[in-house]
Amino acid sequence: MQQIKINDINAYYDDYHVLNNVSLSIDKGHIVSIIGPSGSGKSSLLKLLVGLLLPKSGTISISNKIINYTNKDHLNYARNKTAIVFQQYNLFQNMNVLKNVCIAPYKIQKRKKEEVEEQAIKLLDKVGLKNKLNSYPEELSGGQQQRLCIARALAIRPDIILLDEPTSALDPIGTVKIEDLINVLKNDYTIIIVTHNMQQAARVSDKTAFLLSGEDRCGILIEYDYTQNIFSNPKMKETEDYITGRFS
Amino acid sequence: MGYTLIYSQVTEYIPYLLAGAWISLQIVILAFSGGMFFGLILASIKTFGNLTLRRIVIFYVTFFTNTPQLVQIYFLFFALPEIGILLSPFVAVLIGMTLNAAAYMCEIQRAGFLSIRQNELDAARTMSFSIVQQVRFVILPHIMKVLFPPLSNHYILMTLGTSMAAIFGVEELTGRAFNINSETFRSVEIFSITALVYIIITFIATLLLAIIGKYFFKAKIRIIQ
Amino acid sequence: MDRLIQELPSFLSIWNIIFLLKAMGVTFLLSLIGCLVGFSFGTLLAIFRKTKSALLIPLRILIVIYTEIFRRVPFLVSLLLIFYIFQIVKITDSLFIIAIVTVCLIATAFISEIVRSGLESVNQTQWDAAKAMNFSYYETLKEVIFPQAWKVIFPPAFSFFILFIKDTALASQIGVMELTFAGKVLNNKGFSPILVFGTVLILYFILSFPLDRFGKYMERKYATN
Repeated sequence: MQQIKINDINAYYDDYHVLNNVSLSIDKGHIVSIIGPSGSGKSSLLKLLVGLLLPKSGTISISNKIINYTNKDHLNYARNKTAIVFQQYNLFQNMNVLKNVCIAPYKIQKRKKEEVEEQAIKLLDKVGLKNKLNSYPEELSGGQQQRLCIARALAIRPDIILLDEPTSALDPIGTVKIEDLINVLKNDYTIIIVTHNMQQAARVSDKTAFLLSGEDRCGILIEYDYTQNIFSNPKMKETEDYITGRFS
Repeated sequence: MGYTLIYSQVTEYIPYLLAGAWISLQIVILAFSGGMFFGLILASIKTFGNLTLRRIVIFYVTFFTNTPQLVQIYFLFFALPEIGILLSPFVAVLIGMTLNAAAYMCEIQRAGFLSIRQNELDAARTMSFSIVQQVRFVILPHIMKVLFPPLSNHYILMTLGTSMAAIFGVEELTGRAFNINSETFRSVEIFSITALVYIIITFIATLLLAIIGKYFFKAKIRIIQ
Repeated sequence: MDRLIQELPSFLSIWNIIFLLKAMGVTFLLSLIGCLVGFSFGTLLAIFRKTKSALLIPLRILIVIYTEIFRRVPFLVSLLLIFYIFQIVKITDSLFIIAIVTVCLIATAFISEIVRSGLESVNQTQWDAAKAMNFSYYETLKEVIFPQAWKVIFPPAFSFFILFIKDTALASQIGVMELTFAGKVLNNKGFSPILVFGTVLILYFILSFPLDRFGKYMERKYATN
């Protein structure tokens, strides 16, 4: 089943055309990596899905429902179905670990406090932060903060998890822990990972999309295929150039 | 409400009023310059001087920053004649504002001294910059950039502070407003126009300072918002 | 000098001391009430100013105009303008109330800027994270932004409170019985101005200095947290 369908999206930051006629569909339960050089619009694609960026033209459907991101009900629906983990963590600095995980389910989704806390503790255990419930984000290491972000994202019970460069600031051990976590999560969630680490994309994802900045500086989707095809048999020259590290 | 706003009755006085703004400008420029100069001396003493001198400066600064400028000028204007020093209103206001400004500028400039980064100086020394070159290329540009926003801000505050001079009879902007008021009794009209003039003056000043800051010192100031 | 020593006992009469202490109280009250009201309304203004909806543009423009006016007009001119407006509109004869209204209007304008800076000092990423989790504008402010902005708001706000105590000296010009006016009264009664204004300066110092130290102590405490 197609869980996410992105159709001919054009998006701009002021005058900067960041995504150019991008179309992509993602099946339920898949892990998809989006790779490409900096500035190619990878993070912007994720921001579109959670309504932090509005498309100029084109449509986005989640679970076969077309989302109008200016409509409050649609926006709520989209934000309840998707959860995003940002590149710079964006943890709430004034709340401890437990509260960071509980706040959205409790205050925004208006669920019962006991149920929310119970779920939070289970999730924090799952990501390996059970002993840090009362710590504050600034007291955690980079890897711990990243795992806290994932727990916080899972707490709102999404169907889709969006990860923006989840391991780019981590050491190799931290990276392994996150990738293990992703492998655990893949059974229950649809996951999109933006990464500039091609080996990670190759290790972890079912399908890979390659975004590039064209000569006129727009985010263009060059190729989207099963990961093994992208890496061993790329159809487009640009893909091959990027993967082999060859740039003119 | 038995009062109608008649702005036409006061329009003939506007040139007179605006001329007062020129006197306000004189006061603020003189007091600001004097304050910067003495403030620099005080800041130097406080950073490099011996203990007794430092204590004197600290006492001076603490005293002038914890008491109102108005009362400081009252003291100069009314108390000094007691010991034989008679000051004209303009001079009393000028001296009062300068002494006050010196105290605040001492603190502002001291912050500038303290913001010098030792590692930049070290780098300059290892590249064989002479002392003069170190000052010119490393210290001064950096200090100017750090000092420009707070000094500009204080300049604007002082511009508004010149209105106190009216209390002592100085015929700057507010003083002339007083005069026009006592002649026409069109109080609301006069003081609203005066307020507008102050708004315009400070806007122009902020704009000019922002331009100067951006091009000469690479320091950024906000104009609005 | 001998005049000073001669006058000292009669100057320090019980009546005078109580008179001065009452006036100190009025000064303190003016500043305190002004800042409390200023903080409440200033926060409201800051919150509304940072909204993004197109519907609220007129409100945002009004807020900007209000803030710019009361920050760019001298205290004295604002005070007199409001004084004369009250005379027309005839709501109250009380000078104290007129002074309080002026003080509140000015403090609100300045504090709203301080609160706004504080809110803007919180990283945009915190807003993004909350937005992605469907927090509304007000929920974000309440749960995420304000708790973090408070550290940046409190020191300059408290600092403004102390500064404001000195500004209230200008209320003396419309006859409010605060500390500076008390000084003028005693001076007119014939006491030596050195004695009178010197004492007034010392009293302002006693009011301002401990608060200033307390503020610096709190700043250090917050900084290490």
